[in-house]
Amino acid sequence: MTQQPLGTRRQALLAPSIPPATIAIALLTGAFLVLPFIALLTGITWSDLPELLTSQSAVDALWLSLRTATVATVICIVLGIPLALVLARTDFPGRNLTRVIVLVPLVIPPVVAGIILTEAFGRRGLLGEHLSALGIDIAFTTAAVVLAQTFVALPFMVTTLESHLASSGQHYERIAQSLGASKWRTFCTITLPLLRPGLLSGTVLTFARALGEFGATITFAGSLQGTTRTMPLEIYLARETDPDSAVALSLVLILVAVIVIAVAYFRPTQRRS
Amino acid sequence: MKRYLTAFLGVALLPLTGCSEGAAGQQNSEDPEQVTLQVLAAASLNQPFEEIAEDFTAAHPELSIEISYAGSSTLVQNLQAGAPADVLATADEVSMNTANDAGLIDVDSRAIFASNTLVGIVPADNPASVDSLQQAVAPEVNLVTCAPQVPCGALSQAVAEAAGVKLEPVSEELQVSDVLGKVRSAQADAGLVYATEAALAPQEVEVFHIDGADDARNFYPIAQTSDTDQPEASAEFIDYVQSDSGQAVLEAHGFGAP
Amino acid sequence: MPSAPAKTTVQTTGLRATLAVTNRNVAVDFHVPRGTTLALVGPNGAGKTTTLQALAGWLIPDTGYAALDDTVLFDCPTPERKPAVWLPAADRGIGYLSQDPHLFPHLSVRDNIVYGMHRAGMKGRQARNAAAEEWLERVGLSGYGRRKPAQLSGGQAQRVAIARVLASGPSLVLLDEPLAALDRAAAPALRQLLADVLQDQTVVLVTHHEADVKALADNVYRLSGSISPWE
Repeated sequence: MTQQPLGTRRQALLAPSIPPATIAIALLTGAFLVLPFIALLTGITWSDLPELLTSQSAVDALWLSLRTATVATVICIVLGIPLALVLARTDFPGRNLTRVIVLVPLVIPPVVAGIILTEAFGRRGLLGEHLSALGIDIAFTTAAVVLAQTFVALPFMVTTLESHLASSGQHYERIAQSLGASKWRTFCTITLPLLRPGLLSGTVLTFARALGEFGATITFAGSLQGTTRTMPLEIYLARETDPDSAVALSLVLILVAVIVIAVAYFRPTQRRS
Repeated sequence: MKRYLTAFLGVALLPLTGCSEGAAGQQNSEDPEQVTLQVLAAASLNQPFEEIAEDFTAAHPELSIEISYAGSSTLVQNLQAGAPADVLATADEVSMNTANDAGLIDVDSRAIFASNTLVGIVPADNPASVDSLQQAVAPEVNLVTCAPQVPCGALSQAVAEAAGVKLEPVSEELQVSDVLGKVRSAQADAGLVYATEAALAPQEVEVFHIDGADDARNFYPIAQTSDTDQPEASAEFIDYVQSDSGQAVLEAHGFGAP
Repeated sequence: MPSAPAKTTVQTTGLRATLAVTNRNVAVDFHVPRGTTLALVGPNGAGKTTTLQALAGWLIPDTGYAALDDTVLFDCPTPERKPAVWLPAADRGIGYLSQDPHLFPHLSVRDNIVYGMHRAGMKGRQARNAAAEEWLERVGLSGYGRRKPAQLSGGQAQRVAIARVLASGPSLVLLDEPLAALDRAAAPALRQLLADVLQDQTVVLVTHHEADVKALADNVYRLSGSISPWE
C-alpha cells in the first residue's frame, strides 16, 4: 500500500483515461436505462398497491415464478457445469458446433423456443410421443414451465462458466493431480471452489432469465393459475382488464430481480489480515 | 469539466433534431392529395379487414389505409396513450365501452358491424372423441380456452354458464390464436374458439357445434376516434364495412351478422 | 527408437526415459540414477518442457518409454495407436514445480502443503498439520500457515510450493525453471534451499542458469543428445 501524503484526507481522484465522449454517452445510456423505472415508480398509485398485490392470482403467480425459476436454476447449475467443463477443457471434433447449438436458445425468440420444445416434448412430439405412451404428459404441467425456463436459461450458465474456465486455465488442476489427487477429488476441491465467481454471476443471469421467461412458457406450457401462469404471464393477462394491476405486478417482479442481484453481488469489503 | 458538459449536451440534443410528429390522417408527402387512414382493429379481424381495405382503396384511389391489429384491450390502451388513429374496431362491446368512457371515440359513429360465435374444435383425428361441450369438460379431456379476461374467454364463460357446465381447462390462453395453435398441434384434446378462428385451419381441426352459442355472441363494434383528422374518410370506411360488399367479405371468413 | 531396456539392477533404479515428439522436434533418451539430479539444458524450444510434461503425464509423446524404478510410466510404441501403457498423472507419484508457484488461491498456505499428504501416507488432520508446520520451518516460513497465497511474495510462494511438492512424498521431482520468476536478490537463498531439501530426491531440472546447474545438478543432459557428469 502506498503511503498517503500528509495532509490529504482522502484518496485523490484518478483522472480518467477514456475520451470525454464515452463518458457523455455512458451518462445518456444510464439515463435511458433508468428512465423507465423512474416512470414506473412515479406512475403507480401507491395506495392501491397492497390490494392489487395480495389478490390470489398475484400471489399464486409470484410463488409459482419463484419456485420454477429456482428449480430451473438448480438444474442449469447441475447440467451447465459439466457441459461448460467439456467445452472448455476437452477437444473433440464438433466442439465448435456444439458451442453454437448451446447458444441457439439465446438468440431465438422465446416463442420459437416454445414451438421447438413442443415439437420435441409435446404430446405428438419426437420424444413426447413416447413419453405420452408411458402415461407421462409434460405439457400443461408445472414441469413444462421448468423445462421451458431451463431451456432458455441454460446458455447463460454455460457461456458464463465456459469463459471463466477458459480464462483460468488448467494449471491448478494439473498441480493437484501431480500431488496425487484423483480427477474427482480435483474437481471437488480445486475446480469447483475456483469456479465460484463464475458460478455466482452465471446463477444470477440464469435465475433472472428464468424468472422473466414468457414466450416459451406460454407456447409450450400453457397458462393456468397456480400451475403454469407465472408472473410474466399474469402481468400480460392483467393488462387486459386492469392495467394498474399489471403495473403493480411489474414492480414486484422488478423488485425480486433487484433483490436477487443485490444478494448475489453484495459482499462486505474484505479486510486484510 | 466544461468539455464533458459540452459533449454531453451535444450528444443529448442530437435526437431532437430529427423529430417529426406522426399525425393521424396525415397528408402523404409525395402526393398532397393522398390521405392515409389509420385503423386499429382486433386481431381476429386480420383476414377480412385486409381484403376490405384492398377493395375500399381500389374504389377510393385517393385514400390509403394502414391497419394495426392487436388484442382489443391493447388497442384501447394504445389509443389512450396517444396512438394516432382514425377508426377503432374491437372484438367486443366491453372494449369499445372502455374507449367511450375515456372519451376516445365519437359515439354517434358507433355501429355494430359483425358478430362472432363460439365453436368447439378438436384435433383432426379427435383423440379424445369429443363431440360436444358436455364431453369437452370431462375431467380426462385436455380442454383449452381463452382466459376470461379476454373477449373470447368472456364469451366462453357465458356460453358455458348458459349450457350449465363448468369450464376447467388445463390452460387459459391469452389469445384465441394460441387456443387454435394448441388444438392444431394436438397438445390439447379440445378448445373453444371463435368460428372465424376455426375457419383458419379447416384441415387441421374438426369443429363441433355448441348448443346455445348462437344466443351468446360477441358483437363487434366500429367507431371513429374523437380526434381524427379525416372524419369524412373515416365515415366512408365505416359505411363500407357495413355495406353489402364489406359484409360479404366478413361472412366469407366466418363472421356472423351484426 | 530403442525398445524397453533389458532389466538389470543398475538400469531399473531411478528414472529411465526415452521419448520423441516429432511435431515439436523433440527426441531425448536419458537415465537418472535414484537420488541424483539431472539438469536438462539446451536452447529454447529444444523440448525441455515437453519432456517434463510427458514425464508428468500431461502430454502423450509420439513414441517413448519411461519407467521409474519398477513402475512403467508410459510405453508408446507408435504414434498411430494408443499407448500400450499410460499411467495417469495422479498415479505417477511425480511432483512438479514450475516458475509460477501455482499455489491454490482458495486454500491457506498450510492447506496447500497438506493437499498431497495422503500420497505420502500421512493420515489424520493433526498429524498432517504438524507435518505442514515442520515443512514450513524447513523452508524458513514458520508461522505462515494461516496466510493466504495472495499475501505472499514471489519468493515466499515458491518456498511454499517446494514444501507442497515434497510433503506429498514424490518418487521423482520435476523442476521447470523454478527460480526464473524470482528477482536476483531472492534466487540464491532459494537455490540453497532447493539444494538442501532435494538432496535425496530423484530430480529432473530444466534450467537456463549456470548457477542452478552448479548448485543442484549431478549430471547434465544437453538436448543435442550428449550426457556427461558435471565438473
